[in-house]
Amino acid sequence: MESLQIPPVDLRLLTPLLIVVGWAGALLLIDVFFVPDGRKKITGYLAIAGLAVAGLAGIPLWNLSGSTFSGMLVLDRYSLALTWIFLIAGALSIAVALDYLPRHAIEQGEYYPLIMFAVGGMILMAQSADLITLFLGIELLSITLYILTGFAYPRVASEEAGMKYLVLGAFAAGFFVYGIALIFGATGATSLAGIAAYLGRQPFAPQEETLFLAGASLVLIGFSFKIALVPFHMWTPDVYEGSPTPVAAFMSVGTKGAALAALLRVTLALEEAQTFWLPILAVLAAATMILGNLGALGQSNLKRMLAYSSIGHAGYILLGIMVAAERGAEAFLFYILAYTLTNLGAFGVLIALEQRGEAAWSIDDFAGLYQRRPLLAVAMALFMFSLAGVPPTAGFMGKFFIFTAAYAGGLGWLVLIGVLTSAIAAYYYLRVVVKMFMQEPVREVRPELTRGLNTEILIAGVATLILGLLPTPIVLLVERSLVALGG
Amino acid sequence: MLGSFAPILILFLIAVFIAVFVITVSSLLGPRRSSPRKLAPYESGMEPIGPAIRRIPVKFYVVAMLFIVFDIEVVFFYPYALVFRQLAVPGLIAIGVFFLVLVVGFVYEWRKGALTWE
Amino acid sequence: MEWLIWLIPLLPFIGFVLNVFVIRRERAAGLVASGLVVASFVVAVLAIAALSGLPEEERRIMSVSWHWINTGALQVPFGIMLDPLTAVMVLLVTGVGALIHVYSIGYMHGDPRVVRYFAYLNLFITMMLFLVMGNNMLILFLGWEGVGLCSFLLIGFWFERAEASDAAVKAFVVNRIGDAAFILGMLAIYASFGTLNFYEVSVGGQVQPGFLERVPEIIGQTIGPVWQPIALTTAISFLLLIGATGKSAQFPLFVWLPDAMAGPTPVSALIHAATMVTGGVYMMTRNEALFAASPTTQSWVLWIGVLTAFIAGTSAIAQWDIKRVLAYSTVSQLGFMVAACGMGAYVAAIFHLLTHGIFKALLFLGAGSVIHGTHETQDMRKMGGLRHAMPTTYWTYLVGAGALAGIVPLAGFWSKDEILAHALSHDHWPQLIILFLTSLITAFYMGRQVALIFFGQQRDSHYHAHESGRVMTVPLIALAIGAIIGGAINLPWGHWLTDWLKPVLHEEAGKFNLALALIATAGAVGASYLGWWIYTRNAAKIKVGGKDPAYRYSGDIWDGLEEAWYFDRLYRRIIVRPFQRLGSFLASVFDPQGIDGLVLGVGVLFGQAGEQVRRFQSGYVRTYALIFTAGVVIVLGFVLLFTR
Repeated sequence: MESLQIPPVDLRLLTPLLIVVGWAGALLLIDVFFVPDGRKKITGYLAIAGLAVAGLAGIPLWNLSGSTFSGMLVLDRYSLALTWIFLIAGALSIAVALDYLPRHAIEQGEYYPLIMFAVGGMILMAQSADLITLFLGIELLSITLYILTGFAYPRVASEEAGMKYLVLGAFAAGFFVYGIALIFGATGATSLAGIAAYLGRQPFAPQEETLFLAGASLVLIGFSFKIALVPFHMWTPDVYEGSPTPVAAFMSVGTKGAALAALLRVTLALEEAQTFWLPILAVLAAATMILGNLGALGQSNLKRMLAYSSIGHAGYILLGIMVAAERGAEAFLFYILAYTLTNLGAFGVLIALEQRGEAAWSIDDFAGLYQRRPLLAVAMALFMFSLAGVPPTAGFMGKFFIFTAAYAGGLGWLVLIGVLTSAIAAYYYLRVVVKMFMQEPVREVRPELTRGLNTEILIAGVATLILGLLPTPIVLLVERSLVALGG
Repeated sequence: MLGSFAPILILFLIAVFIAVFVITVSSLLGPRRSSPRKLAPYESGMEPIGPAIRRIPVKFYVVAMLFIVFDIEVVFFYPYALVFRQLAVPGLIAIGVFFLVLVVGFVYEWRKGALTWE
Repeated sequence: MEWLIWLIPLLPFIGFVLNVFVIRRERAAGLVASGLVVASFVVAVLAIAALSGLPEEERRIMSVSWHWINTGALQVPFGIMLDPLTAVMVLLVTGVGALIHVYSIGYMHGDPRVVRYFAYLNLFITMMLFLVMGNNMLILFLGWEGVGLCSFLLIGFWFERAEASDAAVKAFVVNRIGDAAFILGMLAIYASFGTLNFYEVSVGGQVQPGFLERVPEIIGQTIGPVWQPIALTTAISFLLLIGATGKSAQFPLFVWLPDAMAGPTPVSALIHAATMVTGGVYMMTRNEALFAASPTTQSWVLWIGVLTAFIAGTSAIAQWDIKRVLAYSTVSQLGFMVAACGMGAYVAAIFHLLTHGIFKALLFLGAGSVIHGTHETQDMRKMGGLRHAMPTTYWTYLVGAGALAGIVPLAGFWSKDEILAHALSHDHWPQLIILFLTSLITAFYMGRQVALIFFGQQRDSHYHAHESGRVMTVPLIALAIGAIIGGAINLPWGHWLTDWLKPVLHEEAGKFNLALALIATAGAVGASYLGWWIYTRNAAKIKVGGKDPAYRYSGDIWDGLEEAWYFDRLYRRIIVRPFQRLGSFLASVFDPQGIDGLVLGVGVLFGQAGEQVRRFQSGYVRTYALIFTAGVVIVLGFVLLFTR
């Protein structure tokens, strides 16, 4: 019997990932053994500490790059930058949940390790250079999110959302795996490098090409479900609405961001297949921008409105991916960061207004907020303007970068759709501002601002402004992070 | 390569066609005179009692899930036993990590009280 | 020393910050806000004095504070500049702005949210200064959006009135249409030139020419499909033109401005007459090089201006609301400016912009004084004979009305005459005739308005009219003096403004046509006398809530004029309502929260079977999976059939 070789493993490259996942596992046990009921906040703080340590551990890796596990996982600045964004998103989602969970009587210590596992899945996706590990990351993220969606256990809406997400998620995962299988059948490889090498050997047999194209389409569909691109977006509003608000906040930026990041890496690696990706992505992007924004128009439930708005934003981000080779990748990273912070901020305000036993998500509950909580209203207005893309906010800069990159990349008609739909979008974002500043309160809603929430909204608000006024340092950082990708 | 599957595809299409055709035709041509008795589900001539879907205690599911966990563990351990020597120390570490993850889950379950059956 | 020009926008911004975070009392708010704008005006005057000391070719002070955007391909400095064109705009904004701030202290006295009012007003001044001082398109756009935001906030300031918040949203949304085009134009400029700076900027040792200096490079280039190529200059300038029609309330996007009168009157004077709405004219003048390179766009600009002037002028005749008359008149006068831009007479456009800024602010503040003195009456049918009760307001209003009507030697006469003379000397005959007619109409409705407000008997005796206080009349007098002598800056014999703007616009002084001036004067005097005469003779026939005396002779036409040629109704029918339907349709079809429209649709398709399925389906996961599968089929089919 010949001897089996385990490929060499360089665990250094995976430091943040290992810290996050390892600590999450440990925390799960710490929580059940040592943290008494009613003081689960301790677990939350420990989780934030773990995420912070993982972030710090990433700093020495900035000048490092390489791949391990037979090239299945890579570390480069791109993945590291994304890792930081995801860590921030995870930490902020935990911060807002610290008081949310007890207030709604759904406090369970598992929430915090679960978020950490989800972050681990996202990091895994960002570091994947192989469809198998990519799938692993997606599933790690998704399965934790299924649980988190149904976390508000006695509430029927939450259970229903979790169920729906699980069924449809499994459905989509099936397509994704099937796509991987077909691609493997055609090319004999699952690693991006292997597939790219195969694509370089043109021409190939027509049957193999059929297999490859079908497989790639199915993989793209799997991505589209995670990103919530039209027409694979149907689950988004229901799931966001039903799930606990901190989870919805996390999902709106997390799943989307990670899936988009992975999609960017895949499209960049398989540049040979550009002629195949581009038309589909273009149609998906156009449909997503149009239907996402139009869908938000009729919403009076703010949570659903934000869900549709997140669909629309995914369309804009897709523009960046399509021109990733020509400065689109930078625009993409910047947009992801800007969108993450802004959206988390907006959800933070939503959480502040949410009362126990009922959900203050109706847009009418925002009426007259300026009279009662001027600073909160100003913060919310800032987030709305950022999402709408009004200068000088982060959202404007992101849109500006994306549109200039797409325009220069020859996607003029998509830019046209993007600009027009964002003009439409201004209307529904503005409605919130009108409610807050120009109407009398309809009913008594007492915003509850706790320390974690205050911090989160403050961080998001300041970052939204700084990214709008002084984007240059971040842009430089982003630019450097893309050197390895050749973007 | 794909061409060899063509007969299967044809067979598949024929099957689908026949099924759709038969159902459509019977629903179009067949007379429909329903009575309560006809609509009732058939249970060997007995009167149906209670709903068809019953609630089952959730504990059964938990035990079933635990079983799956150990099932997978066994699935991994068997092949590992075969190549135990060739893999040497790195293999031991790898399988140790795998086992550790399982143990964490198991300890968590136990501590949460999933194993108690009152 | 260049950084000193930062003080000009910064001082009002400090006022904004103070008013938001520190000040709680009404008196302090008014004093701080006004004081800082006055200070800004003083700094502007000093800076412009320094500017005029420079040799003519070097008259451009530029100051960059930081790299706003600095990536390899795209560099946008956060920089402002002061050149002759900016200088006159800055003087107008801070000068008129300061007077209106002072006036507001009296007008807004006792309002419960007056601190917020002054905060918004200060923010507006800041943003407007960014708009006119920005040294690149992106800063201009920052100001452009900023003033739009302030305008939105201020129109909806009295949000207890439903029409105020509706008008605010309408203004913002209509402006967004223009803004979308503006963004596209900006992207096109960036894609063509790789920069958004207007002029040469030297940052960090390297000198980068601005796009206005490089316009000749792209002449002859085209974009668009092969069967219909469009000159690049035309595409860019046309997009910018659409942006200008939104901000400057031009046809077909002018509908928001009359509704914007729901805001406090000083706001109407400052934002919706003197400054913000002239932003579009300023932007076109600034990008004169781009527009001049495209004769196609220029003819569009010209006709849009002429049409707007005429449509809005005729609409102003039939209004009863004292402010709506002025609003339509503003739209009409902006049409004159845009038409001047279209003819290439940019100096005339800026000249008219300046004089109009002064006399229209005067008219609005006068109207505000009337509204204030008659206890919030705006319907002119309830007024009449007010000249005895409020003499200062009456005399200053008369000056403003005369300036607008174009009576010699008031400011409006000179600037309007310059536009008409330019049209004559360049043989724009049809446009000249329409503009001339419009100026007669202008004189007519101002005569009507003066007669309705100040002459005859007071028709509604429920209130006791009184003159406004000193803090309001002093700005009126100051503006009236400006409206009398304002024309002096560009008299046909001195043409000081033309010379001043020469480094930017390179324009020769227009020829003065004595015959035209005489005819125009005679026409203006005649038409305004006619308007005055008709409405003082028939004063007895005007009843509160009744019809206009002219209604008997014109009937439906009058109704049409009163509703501004039914544009609002048209838009409601062909855009707003279908759009709302689409929104609710999408919400009901694609959003299964209420009724799941798609299951319904499928149910109709499959008849009873579909109904049965729907009854047993509690969740709608099935539908989602169905749509998902449909998407899969479409994507797969597309790829497998068309990609190879």
